[in-house]
Amino acid sequence: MPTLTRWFLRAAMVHLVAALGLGLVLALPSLAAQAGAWRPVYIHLLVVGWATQMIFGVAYWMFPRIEPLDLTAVPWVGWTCFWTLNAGLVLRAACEPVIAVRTAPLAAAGTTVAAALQLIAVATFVRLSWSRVKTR
Amino acid sequence: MPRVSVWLVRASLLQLLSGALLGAAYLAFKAEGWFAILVTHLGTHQEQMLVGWMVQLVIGVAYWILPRSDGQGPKDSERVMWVVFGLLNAGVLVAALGTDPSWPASLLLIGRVAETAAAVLFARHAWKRQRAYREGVRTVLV
Repeated sequence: MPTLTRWFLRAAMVHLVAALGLGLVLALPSLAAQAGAWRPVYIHLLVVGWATQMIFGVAYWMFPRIEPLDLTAVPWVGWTCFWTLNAGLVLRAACEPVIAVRTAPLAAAGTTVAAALQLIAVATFVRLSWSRVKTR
Repeated sequence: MPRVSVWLVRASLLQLLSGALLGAAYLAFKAEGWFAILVTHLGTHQEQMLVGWMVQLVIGVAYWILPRSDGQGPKDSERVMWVVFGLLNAGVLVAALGTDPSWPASLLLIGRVAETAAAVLFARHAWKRQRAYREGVRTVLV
């Protein structure tokens, strides 16, 4: 399994635990009032951080290769995808609940940067995968 | 990879890119008030990410890697899968339009019918491709 895949899969598992932990906390009756602000973070940790990241990792590993995997080369596009996806998600988790309850310019800027980072992650994954999806 | 799988997986990548664009625009709207014109497209984002990206990718990869059934020729099953491809993508598009308040809400129902029909056709096809190991095969699973 390529190193990048291992990082994707391990990060996906961290996001899964974080998402379900957050879901558990949000289910506490004493936090019912705050749950709305955190719900988008919970959903995205699960759907993007866990499921999509798992798919990214496995696709990078399993999709047909144009050239044999060179273990000595650093797949920069792949690592850009990994770091922008995870930095974007963490930044989003830190900032989005803040702007949901009050005006906070720094958190708003952080949310916008998070949006851009996640978009970059998706674009790099599409670039990475497109040519590998082909008939024999 | 069969041609129909290539189309399903590439269409799922396009749905992912388009859905992520809408999602990022929506997040920027929440943060800074930008792209207000896209606020009504949250339903499109959700439809594209869940059905257009995830479901379609899984269907495309499953058609590629599940063991082939002996009873059904690849040509027959490929024809069914092209119908699945058409129904699923048309369904996502129509259902997405249905979530926009400026379009008739009935489109959501029509889109979901198309998506469900695609799911039924795929499930019917994939059902026959789940097989146990043949008797007598000595396999050690670790």
